[in-house]
Amino acid sequence: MLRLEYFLIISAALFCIGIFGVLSRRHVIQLLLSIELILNAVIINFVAFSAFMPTTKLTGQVFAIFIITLAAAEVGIGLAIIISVYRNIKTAKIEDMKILKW
Amino acid sequence: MAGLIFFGIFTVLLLFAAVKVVTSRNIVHSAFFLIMVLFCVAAYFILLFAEFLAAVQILIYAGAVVILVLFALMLTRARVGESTEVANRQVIPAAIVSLVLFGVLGYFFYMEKWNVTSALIKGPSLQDISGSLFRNFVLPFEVASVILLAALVGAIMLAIKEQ
Repeated sequence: MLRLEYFLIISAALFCIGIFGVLSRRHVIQLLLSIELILNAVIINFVAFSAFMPTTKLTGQVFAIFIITLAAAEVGIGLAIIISVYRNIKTAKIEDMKILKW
Repeated sequence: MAGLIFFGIFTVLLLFAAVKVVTSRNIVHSAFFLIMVLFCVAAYFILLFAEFLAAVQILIYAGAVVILVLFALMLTRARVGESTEVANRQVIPAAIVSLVLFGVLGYFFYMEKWNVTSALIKGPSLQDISGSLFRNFVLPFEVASVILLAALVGAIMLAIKEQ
C-alpha cells in the first residue's frame, strides 16, 4: 500500500540531488537543470499532500499548477540572462561571471 | 499492490536519471535525463490520481522547458562533446551537505505522525480542479498569468540584440 512517507522521502532525495547539482556544477545551464529538479521535488510534495489529505479546495494540485507556471517563467528569464551574459563575456561557466565582484 | 510495484520501478528510474542529470559530463545528456525525470514525476502524479497534472507536466515541462534549455545550449555554443571539467572544487563538501540534509529530512519525514487518510481515495475530476482554480484561487491565477507575461516580455528584452 502506498503511504505518504514514501513520496516525501523520494522528494527529499530529489531535492538533495538538486542541491548537490547547484553546489557542484560549473556550467550555468546545468545549474538551471538542477533548480528544475528542486522544483519537481516540491511539486511531488504538494501533490502527495493533496492526495493524502483530501479537501474540497484541492489546494495542493492548484499550487502545483502555479509552480509549473512560475518554473516556465524562471527558465525563460534565466536563459535570456545566460544568453545575454554569453554575448558580453563569451563564457557560460559560473566562476567566470565575476564582473560584479570587485 | 500493483501501485507499490510501479512506485518502485519509477523510483529507481527517477533516482538514476536525477543522479545522471547532475553528474553527466555532457550537458545535452543532462537535459535528456531531465526529460526522463519529468516523465517519472508524471508517473507519480498518475499514481496519486492527478492525471491532469501529469498531462500538464509532460506538455509544459518536458515539451517546452527542456526544449528551451536545448535552444539556449545551441545559442551559447556549448561544446556538445565531452567536456573535461564539469564540476568545481566543491564536489566533496557538496556531497556531504546534501547527504546530511537528506538524512535529516528523511528522518523527520519518517518519524512524524502525519494526520492523513490511510489509503488513497479516488482523485478529483478535472471539473473539481477547474472549479477550484477559477473560484477559490482566481486572484493567484491572474497574478501568475501577469507574471508569465512580464517574464516573457523581459526575456525578449534581455535577449534582443542591440543595434
